Amino acid sequence: MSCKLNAIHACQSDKTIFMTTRGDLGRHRRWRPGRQKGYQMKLRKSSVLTAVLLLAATATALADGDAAVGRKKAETCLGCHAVPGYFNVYPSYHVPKLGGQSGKYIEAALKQYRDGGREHGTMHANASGLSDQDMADIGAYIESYRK
Amino acid sequence: MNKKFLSVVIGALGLAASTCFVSAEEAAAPAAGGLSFDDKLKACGACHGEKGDKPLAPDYPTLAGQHADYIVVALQHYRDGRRTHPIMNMQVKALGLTDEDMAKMGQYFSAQGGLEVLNTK
Repeated sequence: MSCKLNAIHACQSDKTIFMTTRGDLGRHRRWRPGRQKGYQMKLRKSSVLTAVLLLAATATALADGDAAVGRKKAETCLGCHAVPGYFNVYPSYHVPKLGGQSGKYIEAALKQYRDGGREHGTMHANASGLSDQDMADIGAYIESYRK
Repeated sequence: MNKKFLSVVIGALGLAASTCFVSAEEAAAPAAGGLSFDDKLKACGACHGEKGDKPLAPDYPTLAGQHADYIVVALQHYRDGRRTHPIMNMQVKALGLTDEDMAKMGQYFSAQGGLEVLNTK
């Protein structure tokens, strides 16, 4: 819960919402030039709606990851991804290097393994046991390898 | 009239297919005639960085330093629909990547410094 709150907070201080509401202002100005009061009401409603939608989308999609927590949750990952030269079998190829990937890429990949966008039995099984927050934490841990 | 319409449709498809390309027509049009390997490599670089070390979007992977054989498997899976990404599935087909192209791409990106194996510390 605290992480969700953090995400909302971060989002509110972000310039994106400000820019978006200003974008709305521009559009309404062009469309309804002579109706001050109605225009302001409309603008306000649509700005609030935009802000709420953005907040909701951001809070659910981009949970903040905690690298230290992620390190603990990544124990299973390390069993394969921390072994230099480790091979996937049938077919045989190197298990991918992850150190230096972005947290967002790791999150996206884990979600795909879980939801079926990527085929891999073991990864599907592992990702299926993770919550979105777990994925964000693991992503943050892996991103900490970046120099 | 028909020809004109067709060329517009083809143009629109080409543009849509190459959101990532530096030059859309260059990359999409000669696919039938055959792109050089360097052209194909440039298409990768447009989104992943020339050396695969500067992904354009936060959820795009770094390729620099990745195992060559893993890159090949990823490309094969995109080609076969076993891994899905709206741009990648389209690119592999639009560029007409051959097995040889995939192998060379794997070698090129794995030779760049970048990714590392995780450690247990």
